[in-house]
Amino acid sequence: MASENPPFERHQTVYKTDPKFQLDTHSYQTQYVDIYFLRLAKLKRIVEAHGRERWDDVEVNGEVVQRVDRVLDVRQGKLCWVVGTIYMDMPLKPNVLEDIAKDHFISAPLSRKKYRDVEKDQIMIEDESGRLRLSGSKIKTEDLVTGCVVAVMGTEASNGEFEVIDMALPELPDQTERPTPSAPSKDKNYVALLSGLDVTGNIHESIETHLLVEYLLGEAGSPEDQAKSSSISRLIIAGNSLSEPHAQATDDAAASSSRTTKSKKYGYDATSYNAKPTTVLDTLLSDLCTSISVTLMPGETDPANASLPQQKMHPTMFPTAKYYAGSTFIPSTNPHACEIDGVTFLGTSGQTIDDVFKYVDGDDRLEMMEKTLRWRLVAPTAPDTLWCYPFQDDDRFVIEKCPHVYFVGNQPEFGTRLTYGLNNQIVRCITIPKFSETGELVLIDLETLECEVISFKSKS
Amino acid sequence: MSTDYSSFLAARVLNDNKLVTYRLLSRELEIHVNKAKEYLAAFHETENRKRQGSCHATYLVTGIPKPLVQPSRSTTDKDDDTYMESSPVPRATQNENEESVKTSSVILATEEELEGVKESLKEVTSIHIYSVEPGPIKDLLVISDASTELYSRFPTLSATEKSKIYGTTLNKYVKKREGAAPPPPPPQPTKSSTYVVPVKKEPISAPAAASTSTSKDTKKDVKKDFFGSIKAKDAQKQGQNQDSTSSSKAKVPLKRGQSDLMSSFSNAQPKKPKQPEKKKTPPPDFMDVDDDEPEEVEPIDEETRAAERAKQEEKRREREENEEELRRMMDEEDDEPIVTERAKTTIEAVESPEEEEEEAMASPVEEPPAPAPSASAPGRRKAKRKVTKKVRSKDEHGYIVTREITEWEEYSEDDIPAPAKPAKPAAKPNAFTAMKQAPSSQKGKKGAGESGPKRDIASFFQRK
Repeated sequence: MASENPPFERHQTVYKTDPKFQLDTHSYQTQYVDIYFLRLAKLKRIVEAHGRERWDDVEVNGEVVQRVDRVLDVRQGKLCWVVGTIYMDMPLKPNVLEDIAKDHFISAPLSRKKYRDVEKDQIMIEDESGRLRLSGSKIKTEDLVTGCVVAVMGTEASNGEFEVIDMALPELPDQTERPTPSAPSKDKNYVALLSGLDVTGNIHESIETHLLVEYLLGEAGSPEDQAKSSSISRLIIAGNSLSEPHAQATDDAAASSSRTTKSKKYGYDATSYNAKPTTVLDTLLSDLCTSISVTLMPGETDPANASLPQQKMHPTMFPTAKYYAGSTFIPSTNPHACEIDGVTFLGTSGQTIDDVFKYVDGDDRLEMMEKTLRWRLVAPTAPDTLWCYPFQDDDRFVIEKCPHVYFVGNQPEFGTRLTYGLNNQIVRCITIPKFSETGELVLIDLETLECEVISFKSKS
Repeated sequence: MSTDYSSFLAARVLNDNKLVTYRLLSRELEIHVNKAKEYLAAFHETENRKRQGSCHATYLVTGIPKPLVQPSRSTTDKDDDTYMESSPVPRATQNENEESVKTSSVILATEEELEGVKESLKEVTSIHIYSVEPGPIKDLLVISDASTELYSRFPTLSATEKSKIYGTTLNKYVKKREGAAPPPPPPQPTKSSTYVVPVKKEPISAPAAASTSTSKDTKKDVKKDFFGSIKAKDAQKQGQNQDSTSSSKAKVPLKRGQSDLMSSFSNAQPKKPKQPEKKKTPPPDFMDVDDDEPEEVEPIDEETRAAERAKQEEKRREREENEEELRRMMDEEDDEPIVTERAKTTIEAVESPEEEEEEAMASPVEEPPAPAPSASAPGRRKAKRKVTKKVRSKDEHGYIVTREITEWEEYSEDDIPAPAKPAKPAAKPNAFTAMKQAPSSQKGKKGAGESGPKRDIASFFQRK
């Protein structure tokens, strides 16, 4: 069937995955302590450089600031600065030992919205030698989380607390130059970001999801819309493509009527397995993959390992989409780092920022993202309150190269901001909303790093 | 063409009371989606001209929304001013951070809502008809049903075909790997309140790719094998002089799909390594653990299959004899009654659901041979067996003490999902295996005692 207008052609981009978060071994035998050692070893040098720059030959009340090598070398009354890892001692933080101590707890501990309690929280700095409690208004107002490496300047008071006057962070790492477009082309070049599809497999799959697929395939809308859609070179799905598994009430009812109560199952019941959500997601993906490249990151509710870095979802789960693996279907890790036409991307499915959120006052997610960049840590709170893999040789969560685009999925709302580093680094930070709640798809222009939002709605 | 589409739409919308989306129409008539939109609009217009309100439409509107959301967004951006006082980083121009983000909307609306939607937009980029249905729809969700239907009914085409026929954005670099596509998902009964579910009776059309047909072939093969093995066993059974009460009963669950994971286990287990076509019984996606090599399903013609089957039959018998020999030797040591390998499997399978249950709540350690149940009434049976249970209690010091208590427990076959009951998928494996092993089941029951609930899933795989 010939149509008047030739079909639009998908814009192509060069895509390179950074295998940084891919695990080769899956040994959980070892302790987590190594992560902190490795992290401190990696970041100490960097923070020290910033500290030197800042405090060398600085005099406070006629006293010259001294650098101290180890936390334990801090002497009372002497003005000095020291580098270490922050540890937040928070009574509200979940504590395994406490849970065990409570022999009978009536209900499972509530998952708290925030751990922060300004009165009771104690902030400490530690290194291999020991720990030092920090005090002072400076430290209270600066939002810190367990695991970030900082330098603090001040004196130890008579009660043994270290009064902080000033502090330094690792700050943004170096950034590679973004390729400047040879000729300002009229054609836009977008990458679409999406998160929280929450495919349930219910009979009525969300109509917005279908609209999204149709739009991305270039079937919906006028030729204008189709042209725009064709300029989206690829789609990154940042987690939670499947909704949280929950028992199907209807099925249970049917089961109880057909089979009387006599055989009761304990543990995992294979009959309760519902393949529907994955099947639906698979059909959607395989439809998308015929036209657009899809990077699929696992998220909190997806069937992947729970600890960060989450490994790619197994292609076998997508019996039709897996045939596009190697070309347009790209299962990836969470966090995920890649390079698209020279623009580097770094992103997570949201757990990292959700966890940082619990430590700090306020709810500006973009600010938290900026903080994690300045700490040079993708997941600073792992392994304290965020499950993670016990790295032995290298803390992969340390950001060594500054990305151009830093995105976090499954956030309450869309937000974007540019973050500037000391050495002219510019990072586009984006919080991607949950599609199932907002129906929003985020587009980034690879040339300008500007964002656009397309929202899919059904009236009524 | 025009008559084509109008007659099609008339039949579908007016006669069958079904909803038709532009995508469905484009797939149905193999036309470009934009063309389909035009047709839908034309149909809607002509029908309504003939008779007002005879058909109803929904529209897809794209455009730029009025800046209702925008201010809130920029304010959230604005009040971050406080956040980095400590920062040595030069705060770049705040204005740039507050750049308003371009937003566009894609809204699906019914005929009645269309005006309202248009008003809510600052600028309307496009409006096109999305679907036509016989009457006003209460819930737009029925449209998503129609979209889902699209996937189940139409075969997935290659990227180039798709863009050529339907006008999907073309991506030249899509490479689909070779390999058989998985069998199409079983048609799901869709329930819908407002429109009649379009269920097409005719089989998937010819271009449904060779893959679908091959997979169907395999399915057929499986069934045939299936019956074949039953027959073989029947013969064998007569040789062994055993009654066949259960075999007829056992055939009942045949119709059910054997796609269950458990069934593929119990399936694969009794099979011997040299039965290539039988090996395909488990659904390909299950076996395909390493996706890098999609399995190739090569059709095998009838003759070779028959020959092979005969050969296998022979081999199997031989092997069975050997096994029996071996077992006898082993059993002499253990001083246990002679039970064939196959018999054991039967019991195990029959009892498996119960075992699982028990393993969860108690841990039966060793079951001495229970009094042999009478064979004549397979449905109801009373028997006793020894069960070791773990009892957990708290002693006076507040410690939790776990004690093992051995006790006799009565059980009847009622507790066990009867083999013939075609009810739950859970029952399938039992029924299935039971049927396969029907002849030896009697003997098996006797061996129930030492057939060991100790055997776990691993043992399924070890024995070959």
